[in-house]
Amino acid sequence: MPPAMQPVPCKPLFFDLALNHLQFPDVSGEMGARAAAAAAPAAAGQKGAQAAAQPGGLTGFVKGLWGWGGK
Amino acid sequence: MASKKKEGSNAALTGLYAELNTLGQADEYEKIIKISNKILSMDKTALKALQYKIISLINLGRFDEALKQMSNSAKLASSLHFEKAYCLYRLNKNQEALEAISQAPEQTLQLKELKAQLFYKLDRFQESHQTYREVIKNTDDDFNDERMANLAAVLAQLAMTNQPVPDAS
Repeated sequence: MPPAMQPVPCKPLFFDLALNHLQFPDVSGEMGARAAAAAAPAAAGQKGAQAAAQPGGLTGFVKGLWGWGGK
Repeated sequence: MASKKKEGSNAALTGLYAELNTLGQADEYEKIIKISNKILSMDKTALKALQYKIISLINLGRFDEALKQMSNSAKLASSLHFEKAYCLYRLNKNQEALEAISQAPEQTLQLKELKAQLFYKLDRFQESHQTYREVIKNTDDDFNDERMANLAAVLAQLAMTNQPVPDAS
């Protein structure tokens, strides 16, 4: 006969948020003028996100970076 | 002649960086590793290329390789504290990861976030709680819900191990 069932605490959910902080460095300075201009949508997207009035500084920046990845 | 050659390699480098930029936006990690290797073979001091490579290796789950790469170019990689600590964290070398973090010249919020996760893994829930409070207070991004879930996990562990919740200080 199996022993009676007993409740046991479950392991709480825990997210790895540090992974989000790993982002590629900005190489627009290394790309040279022509390539940088060609990649302007990307760079502009990023700078735009930084410069444009956006709610909550860092949030906008992070969103900008990801919108950037979507292009 | 020499200067012409240098010019040529500079042009090649700018092209390779442009490729890195494009590939980075597309999360093409395997290709990024190849391009980074090319850049590093031409310029051994290319920290950003190395960083692209390390981050790609991490995203591919190749933490051992990333660490090896950092120790192979130890001097160049000496500023990549977060990357190193993150690899150690994922390899469950939690104590070493904490040491890597403590070597950073500045405890940024990113490092503190990783530290809070490390304290949790090491069952140091009071320190994890304290670190999370600080991170949450100073962060404004899209992950606050997840962060609160982590804080709840810390509180649950504190309760389960009969430890008091540390005072806010």
